[in-house]
Amino acid sequence: MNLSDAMNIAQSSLASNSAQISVLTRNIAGANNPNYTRKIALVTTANDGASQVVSVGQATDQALFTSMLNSSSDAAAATALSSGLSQLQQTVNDTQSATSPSALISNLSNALQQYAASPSDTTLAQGVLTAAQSLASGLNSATTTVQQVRSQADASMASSVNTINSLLSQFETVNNTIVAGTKAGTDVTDAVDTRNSILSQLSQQVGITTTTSSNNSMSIYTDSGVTLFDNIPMSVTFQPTSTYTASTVGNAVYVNGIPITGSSSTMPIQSGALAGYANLRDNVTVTYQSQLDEIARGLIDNFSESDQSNPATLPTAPGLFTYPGAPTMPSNGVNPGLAGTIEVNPNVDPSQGGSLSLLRDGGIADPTEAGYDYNPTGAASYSGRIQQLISNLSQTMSFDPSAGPDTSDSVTGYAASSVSWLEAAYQNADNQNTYQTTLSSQASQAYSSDTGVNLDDQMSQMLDLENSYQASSKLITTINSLFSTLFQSVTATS
Amino acid sequence: MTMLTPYISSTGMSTALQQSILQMESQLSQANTEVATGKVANIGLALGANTGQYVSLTEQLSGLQTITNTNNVVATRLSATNDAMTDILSTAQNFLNTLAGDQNGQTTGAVMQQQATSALQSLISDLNTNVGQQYVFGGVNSSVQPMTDYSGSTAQQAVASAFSATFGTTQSGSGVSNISSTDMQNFLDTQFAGLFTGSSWTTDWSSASSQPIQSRITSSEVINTSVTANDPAMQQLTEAYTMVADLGLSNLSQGASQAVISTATQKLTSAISELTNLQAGVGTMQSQVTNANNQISIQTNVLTTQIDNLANVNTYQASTQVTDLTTQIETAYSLTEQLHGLSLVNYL
Repeated sequence: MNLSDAMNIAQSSLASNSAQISVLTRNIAGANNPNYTRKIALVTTANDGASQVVSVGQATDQALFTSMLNSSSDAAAATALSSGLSQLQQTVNDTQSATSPSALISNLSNALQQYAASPSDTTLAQGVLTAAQSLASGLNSATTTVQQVRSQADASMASSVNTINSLLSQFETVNNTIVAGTKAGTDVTDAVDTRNSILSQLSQQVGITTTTSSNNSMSIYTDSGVTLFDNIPMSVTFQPTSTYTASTVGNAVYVNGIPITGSSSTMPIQSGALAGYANLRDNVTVTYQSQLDEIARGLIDNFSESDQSNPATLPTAPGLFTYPGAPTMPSNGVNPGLAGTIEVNPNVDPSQGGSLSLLRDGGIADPTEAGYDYNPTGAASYSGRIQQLISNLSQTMSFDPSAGPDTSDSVTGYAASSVSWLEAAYQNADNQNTYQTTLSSQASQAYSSDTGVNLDDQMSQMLDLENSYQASSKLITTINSLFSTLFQSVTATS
Repeated sequence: MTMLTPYISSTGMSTALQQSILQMESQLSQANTEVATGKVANIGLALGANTGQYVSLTEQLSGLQTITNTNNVVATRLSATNDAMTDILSTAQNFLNTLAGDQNGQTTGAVMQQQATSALQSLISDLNTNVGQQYVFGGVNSSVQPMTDYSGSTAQQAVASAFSATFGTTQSGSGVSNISSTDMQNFLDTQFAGLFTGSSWTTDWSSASSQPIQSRITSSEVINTSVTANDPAMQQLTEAYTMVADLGLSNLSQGASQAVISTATQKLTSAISELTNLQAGVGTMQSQVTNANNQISIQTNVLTTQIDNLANVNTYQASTQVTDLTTQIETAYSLTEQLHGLSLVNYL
C-alpha cells in the first residue's frame, strides 16, 4: 500500500459518490410519480479497495404488484357494473317519486278505485286515462333507458378493446427494450417501471396474469388463460353495435379468434372493465328488460276484454293496454321489447277520437263489436267492469321463469319484486364496488409505499453522501499535502 | 449490516390522507341528506332486496288513502239516502194518520185527495234526491232522474186509461158514484195494482235501475251502497198515494171510497214496515263504511310504522355522525398541513 493507492481509492470514492447522487436525484425527481419505483445504486468494493457503482437496482415487491393488478381488475369490473346499474336504477328512481312501473301501476289502481266510486264522473275517467298513459310511457322510457345502458356498455367495450390493443403495442416496445437492455447489461429499471405501469393500466381493462422468462421478457394472459402477449401482441377484435333493441344480441370480444366474452365463450374473462361491461350488456340489462316486458304482458292481459255474449264468439283481445300485435293477445312468456311498444288504446282517448265511457262499459278492444260491451244499457253508475279491473291487478298470473324474480304473482306484486331484484343487484354491485375499490386502492398504496420514494430517506442519504464526498475531498487534499511535504524535503535534501 | 425498518414512500403517506378525506366527505354528504330528510339517503342502496317490500307498503298505504277518499263519497251518498228515507217515512206515517182519521169520519175525501197528491209529490221529489250529478235512488242508472212529476206523466195516463177501461168513465165523470165497493176492490187488486209492478213500473214510473250501486269500501270488500226507487216499498207507497189522489175519491160512493181507503191503509202499513227495514239496511251500510274507515285507519298506522321502520333514520344518530365527521375531516386537514411541513428539507 502506498500514497498513490490511497489517492486512487479516494478518487474512486468521489466517482462512486457522484454516481450515487445521480441515482438519488432520479429518485427525488420520481418522488411524486406513483408508478416510479425507488432506484438503488449497488456499490461494490474493487480488488484494490476502491468502491464503485456496478449497477442500479430497484425496489420491487412482486407479491404486492400481483395483488395490485388483481384488485384493480376486480374493482374496474365492479365499477362498470355498478355505474350501469345506477343508471338502470333511475327507471325505479327514488322510490318516493312515483316513476317506477310499480308505483305507476299503483297510481292506476287508485285512479280506478276513485272512478269506481263515481263511474258517471268523466273527470275521474280522465284520471284513469292519464294514469294509464303515464304507466305505458313509464314502461316505454324504462325500455329506452335499459337499451341505452346496453348501447353505452357496447361503446365502452369498444373503447376498452382499443385501449387494450394500444397498451399491448406499447408493451411490445418496452418489453423489447428490456430484453435487449438485460442482454447488454444496461440499466433497464426505468423501462421496467414503464412496463409495470402499462400492466397496471391493462389490468383495469381486463383481468391478467403474467409470467417472466429468463431473458426478462414478459408474457401476458387473460385471467381466463387466453394469451394476450407473447413476444408479440395478439389482436383483440370487437365489432361494435350502435343501436340496441330488446332483441339485439351484442357481439363478443375475440382474442386471436377466441371469444372471451358472451355465451359462446368457453374461456370467458372474469374481471376488468371489459368483463364488467359485457356482464352488464349481456346479462343484467337483458334480465331487467325481460321483467319490464313481463310487466307489460301482465298489464295487457289484466285489461284484456272477452266476449260477454252467450255463446261467446269473439276472441279475447287487448283492451285499455294494447300493442302493435293487437287484436291478437301477446303469447305467454317473454315478448322481447313489449314494454317498449305498449300503449294506451286510442279507442278510449278523446284526443284521438276515442270515448272515455268505454273505460266503464268495456268495448275498448273494438267499439263496433257489441260483444265486448259489459254495460249494454249504458247505466251511468255501473262499476262492475271497473271493480273487475281493480281485482285483476291483484290476481295471480304466471310469469316466465327466465326473467326471475317471480313465476307466479299478481302484476302489482311482480312489479314490486322487480324493484327488489334491481335494487338488490344495485346494492350488491355497489357494495362490491366499494369493497373492491378500497381493496384496490389499499393494494396500490401498499405497493407504492413499499416501492416508492421517501424524500426524507433520500435527503438523509444525501447528507451521508455529502459527508463522504467531503471526507474523500479532505483525503485528497491531505494526500496532496503529504506529497508536497515529500517533494519539498526531496528538493531540500538534493 | 442493514437495519430492517418499515418503509413508506412520500406519495404513499399523502395519498392515504387524501383518500380518507374523500371517503369522509362523501359520508358527510350522505349524513347531511339523512339529517335533512329523516330518511335513508338512498333507499335502494340501504334496503336492497327489501326495496320491493318498501314499495308495496307505500303503495298499499296510498291505496288505503284512496279508499278513504272514495268512502267519503259513499258516506255522503248514504247520508243523503238516509235523510230522504226519513222524510219519505214521516210523510207516509202522517198520511197513514190522515187515513185513520177518515175511518173515524173526521176527514173529507177532498182533503185526503189533496194530502195524497202532496205526499206523492214529496215522495217523487225525495226519490229524485241527487248528490253532485248522481241521483241516489237511481241504482246504477244514476245519471237519469228516476221519477217524473205525476201531473201529465205517462203514469197518470196509464191510471186514467185503466180506470176508464174498467169503469167506462173518467175519474171525475158522473158515473163514478155508481161504482160498487166490490168492483172498486176488484179494480184495485188487479188492474190498478198491476200498474205499479214489473215492466209497467219501469215503463211508466221509474227510470231507475234495479241494480244497486256497488262500492269497494276496503281493499277486499265490495258492498251495495244504494237503495233504488224500484224497491217494492217505494212501489207500494206510490200505489197508496195514487189510489187516494187520483181515483176521484170525493165522488165515490161510501162503499167504494172505503175500499180505496182500507186498501191504501194496508199498502201503507206494509210499505212503512218495509221502509223501516230498508232504512235499517242503509244504517248497516253506513256502519259498514264507518267500520271500514276505522279498519283502514288502523291499517294505515301499521303500514306507516312499517314504512318508517324500513326507511327512517335516527336523526339524532345522523346528526351526531355529521358532527363526528366534521371533526374528523378538520383533523385530517390539519394533519395534511403538518405532514407537508414535516420534511427534512426544511432543516438542511
